[in-house]
Amino acid sequence: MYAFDYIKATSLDQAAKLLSEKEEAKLLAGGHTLLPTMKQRLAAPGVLVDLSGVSDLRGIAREGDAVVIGAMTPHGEVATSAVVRAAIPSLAELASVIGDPAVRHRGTIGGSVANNDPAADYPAACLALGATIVTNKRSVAADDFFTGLFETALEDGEIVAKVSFPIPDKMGYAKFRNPASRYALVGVCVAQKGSTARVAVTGAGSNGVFRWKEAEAAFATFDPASLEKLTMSPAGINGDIHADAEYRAHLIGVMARRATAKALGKRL
Amino acid sequence: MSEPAPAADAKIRMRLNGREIAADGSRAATLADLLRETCGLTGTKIGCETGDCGACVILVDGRQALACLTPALRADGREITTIEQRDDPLLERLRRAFADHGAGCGFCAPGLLISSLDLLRRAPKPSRRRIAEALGGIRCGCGGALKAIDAVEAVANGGAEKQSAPAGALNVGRSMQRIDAQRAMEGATALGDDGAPHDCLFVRAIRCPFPRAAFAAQDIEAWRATHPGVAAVITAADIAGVNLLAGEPHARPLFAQGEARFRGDIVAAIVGERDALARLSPDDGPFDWTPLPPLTDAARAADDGVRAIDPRRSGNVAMRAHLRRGHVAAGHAQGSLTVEGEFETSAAAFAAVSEKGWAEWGGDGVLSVHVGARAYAACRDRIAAMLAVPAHAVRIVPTQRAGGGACDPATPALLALACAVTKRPVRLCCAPSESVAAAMRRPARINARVSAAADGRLVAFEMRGDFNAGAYLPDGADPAGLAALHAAGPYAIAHVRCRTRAILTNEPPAAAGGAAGRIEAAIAAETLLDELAERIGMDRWAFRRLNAIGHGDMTPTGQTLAASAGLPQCLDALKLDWEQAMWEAQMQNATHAERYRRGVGVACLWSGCGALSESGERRARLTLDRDGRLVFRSDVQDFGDGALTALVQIMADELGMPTSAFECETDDDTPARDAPPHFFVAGRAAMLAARDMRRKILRLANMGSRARLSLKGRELQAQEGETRRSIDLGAMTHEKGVVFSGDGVFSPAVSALDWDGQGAPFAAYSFGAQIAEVEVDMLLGRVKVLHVAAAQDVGRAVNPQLTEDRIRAAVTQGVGVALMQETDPGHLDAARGRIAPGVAEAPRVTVRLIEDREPDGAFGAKSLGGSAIIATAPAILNAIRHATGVAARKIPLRPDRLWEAMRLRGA
Ligand SMILES: Cc1cc2nc3c(=O)[nH]c(=O)nc-3n(C[C@H](O)[C@H](O)[C@H](O)COP(=O)(O)OP(=O)(O)OC[C@H]3O[C@@H](n4cnc5c(N)ncnc54)[C@H](O)[C@@H]3O)c2cc1C
Ligand code: FES
Ligand code: FES
Repeated sequence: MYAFDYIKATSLDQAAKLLSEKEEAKLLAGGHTLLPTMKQRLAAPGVLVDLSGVSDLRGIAREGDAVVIGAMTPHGEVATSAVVRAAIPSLAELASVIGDPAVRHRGTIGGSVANNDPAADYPAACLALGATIVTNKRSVAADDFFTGLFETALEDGEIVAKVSFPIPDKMGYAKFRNPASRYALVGVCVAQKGSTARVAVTGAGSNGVFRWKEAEAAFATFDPASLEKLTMSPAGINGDIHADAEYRAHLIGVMARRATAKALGKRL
Repeated sequence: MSEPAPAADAKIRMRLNGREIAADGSRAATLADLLRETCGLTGTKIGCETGDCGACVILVDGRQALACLTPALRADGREITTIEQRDDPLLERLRRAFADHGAGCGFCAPGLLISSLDLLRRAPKPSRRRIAEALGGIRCGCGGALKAIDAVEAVANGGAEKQSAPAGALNVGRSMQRIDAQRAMEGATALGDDGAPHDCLFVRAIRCPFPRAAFAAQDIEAWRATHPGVAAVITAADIAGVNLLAGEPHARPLFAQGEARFRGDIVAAIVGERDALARLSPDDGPFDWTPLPPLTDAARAADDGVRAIDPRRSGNVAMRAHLRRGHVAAGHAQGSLTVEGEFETSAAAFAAVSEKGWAEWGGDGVLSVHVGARAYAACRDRIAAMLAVPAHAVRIVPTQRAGGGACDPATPALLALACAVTKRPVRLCCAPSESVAAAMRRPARINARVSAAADGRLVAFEMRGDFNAGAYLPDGADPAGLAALHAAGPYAIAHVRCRTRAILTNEPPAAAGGAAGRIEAAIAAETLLDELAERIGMDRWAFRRLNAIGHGDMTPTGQTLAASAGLPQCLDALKLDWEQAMWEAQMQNATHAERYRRGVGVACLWSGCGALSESGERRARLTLDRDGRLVFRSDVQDFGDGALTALVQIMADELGMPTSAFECETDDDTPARDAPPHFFVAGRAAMLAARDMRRKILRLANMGSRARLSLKGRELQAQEGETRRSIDLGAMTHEKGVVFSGDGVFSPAVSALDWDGQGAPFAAYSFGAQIAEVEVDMLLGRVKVLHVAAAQDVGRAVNPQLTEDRIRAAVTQGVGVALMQETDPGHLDAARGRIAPGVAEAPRVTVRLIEDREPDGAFGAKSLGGSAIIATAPAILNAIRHATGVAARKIPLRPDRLWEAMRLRGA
């Protein structure tokens, strides 16, 4: 691949400034999505603005009723964080099934949500937990953030600074791994807080991650049995060389029940 | 706050393998570039470049990172550990253990080693499962990763190092290390463009972005002028000789003529600076494209009156194969039961590596091209014909290709042409997606019908197969022809009729090799045999045993198997495995929940050793020069299968010298052949070469046939009893430095096939049988292959360990064929679609070697075991049928397909 100009930003403001001044500049986080796309020439930025030197973008903290994760925190750190394990253990588990060890050391949560790959894991957690994506300009609710395949509400020059996850009463994530890439063929994240439950599905929607509202409404009580009768229609579900839409729709049902069982500390 | 400096004047200071260094990072994009190009450390190997293969794992500040995805400037201020690190005791222990366990061919071995180092530093006593998880991101094609698990476990347990058999014992039959094991563990195996000089230009193909398109050149000079860094645009007009990549006149040209016939077809090439080329997309260049309607479905392309893909042909049926024995209709009539089915297999890419290679003009006026070509002498001749120079003006220097296999035939041609035009050394610039076009198995559709008598004897077999050949016929391979010959399986059947066609379409051409044709045919036949056995009410293993061919039996081509036909032994060796697996499955299914069901399947294979009706000679040459160098020269290449190691073992025993005395080189004088020599043929030629040299040495030394030889520097010693003679090689007369030479020539006994496909297409066959145990998740359609027991008749296992590894690797690939391998030819960027199971998903494999010696082979050897891939998919599919009742008709049997089929059965 070609040598690009590379600038290591030292603060969020400076990164934002560089982004607006330099033509064809792009943010570089873990690079585990950006570099492959550059090699495939699906993207050809002239300048990469590296966020790895911006220290306040990294780290995990408990802030009141939420766990806040800095954008540059790698998946591996989330997976092993004592804070996350104590407050939202299944979020740590979700992070631990992303890719393989090398990917988890470098890929970041900020890169993952900004990229919004339709098969990525974090977007499902963001939607199910009702996370808030905090950028250098504003705070955006997850429901408004993920807008389509590889599309988000981020505007030009906007940088994800952190993601704030409200601590649920219960959460479970069930992922059917694509045997080749280890991305989600289907992943379902279920979270319960008080009287509401949210169900988010990744890997399946032809428009990217989405909330399965019928399932949310079906929870008379928060248990897998409540979802038993529910079937997902294959309309709007993605079919490709890994699996067709009908099967993915079926998987969504199974994974939703499994995630619910996991949230309750049971196996299904 | 100071303005950060851009990359142009970027110095990278890092601690590299314990030494502080400063490197100029301005021309390096990734850490892989920085290490390999700037620092000259090529031990970190590059496969896919996109994070999928895991070959390039290094440590950054003691944590694993993929060098191909780490920006170079991120290394600044860091501590980097690569395979070149030589003073870490743990890494040295791992290196030794890896070499002892035969872990790997040198492609991902460095990545496996570094990942293991990282693991053992964190967890000194990991469980097997944890090891498999830790190495799970590395997609290893040669089976190295499976052995790596054993090696890591051995190091963790501080176990004694594996002892090789004492020197002096016979080499044939001994599990010695690969001859290149040490180098592989140091990252010193020459792969791709590892050896390329620094001042190379780069060449990249201009590829058609549509499945079919007309193209027209724009003003090439004007385009070039606006693209700084581009030195030349090369078109068909620059080809002085023949624009063809294979010998046959309808073969694929390097540059498409008239229209581009598949997505990725090459129309011209650009030569220039690396950065300039890397910024271009594969279809960028001074050409206008007009997409035309493509013809991708083979069945449609074969219809009468359909447009011909190749306008010089009438119709698209490029090849027909036909085999007839007895009267198949009468045979069916005799049978008391008949089953039939139509099978469809998918296109599959089986490599996740990007193409690499380089070329340069030597001082002697010879153009040398460094690539992993399939048949390098043929490649040399084609390039000479393309450049209109004599064959001796071109040399192919074989390098190993990442992940095994051979390069796209266009790769050496592009390199040679660019080097000839620019008179500069040239390397290949190739986006990861481009290489997929070259490594494909094409889809096939097979109809088969089988009948058996009430006593279980097979009486008739009939099949028709259509093989989608892609836009050009594959070079030196004929899946359709091989399918017709092998389809009836290794069974005694009186009435056989097979008809196959290779059909041209607007899809990428098939890659040669990989048992194409035989796999598809075996899937059809073995699936139907299971259905038949069940209908007859016979045990499936016994049904095969009853019909298996053995010594003295006749094949469907009318060839009598005079010797080495070990299928009955293979089946017998699996009898206990079969009974136990069947019993266990029954117990499990009876006592456990309905959710998971066990199934057991069996399948047999046979495979002709060598290319189809390969007549004519294969040569090998052994020379001993005045400096005491003992060099083996042949057209054999090691594609990660350890072939050269086994050949050296054969020669060592025949010549009576230790294996360590041998060096291996390619022979520039080998006559061109379309396919590389099969191990059966190469082994025999090598043995004869050693025999010839030994005869000459003993004659000169005037010693008897039992004399032992040894070599100390320039002194050659012969000893028999008390008599000892020594020859000072340096003082001997010689021709070009060679004092002794040995020539081996072997022509396998084959005959051309007649109109009905009758004859002796192969001089020897390897046989095998496999039993697969699976567990099916009835709710999700997911299949877990628990265990495969593979018995394989290799004639003689020259190196049992290598042979077992080869069979394990083949079985693992076979799991991919059955369940996963499928590529969408419309989306060549589908890195996520290239599939073989990783180590964590690989099944447990038990290998049972059968040695029914082949009299024509060296020491009885006829194969290294790679054909085991043929039986794995059918054995798994039969096991799934046993578990679920679902008979697979579309392959791979992905979870969605299985789930839908189960649902239909249930409904
Ligand atoms: C082999 C492999 C397997 C993988 N498996 C999985 C998997 O199973 N599940 C999964 O979810 N993911 C998987 N990934 C993706 C991985 O997690 C990526 O690293 C991640 O999605 C992107 O993070 P990054 O830090 O690498 O981002 P980068 O590649 O650096 O950036 C991605 C994009 O986001 C932008 N960006 C980055 N940071 C910010 C920010 N703070 N604000 C705004 N924009 C930003 C960049 O400009 C770029 O466009 C896999 C990747 C690989 C290579
Ligand atoms: S993962 Fe880096 S080369 Fe394949
Ligand atoms: S070591 Fe993995 S391909 Fe050979």
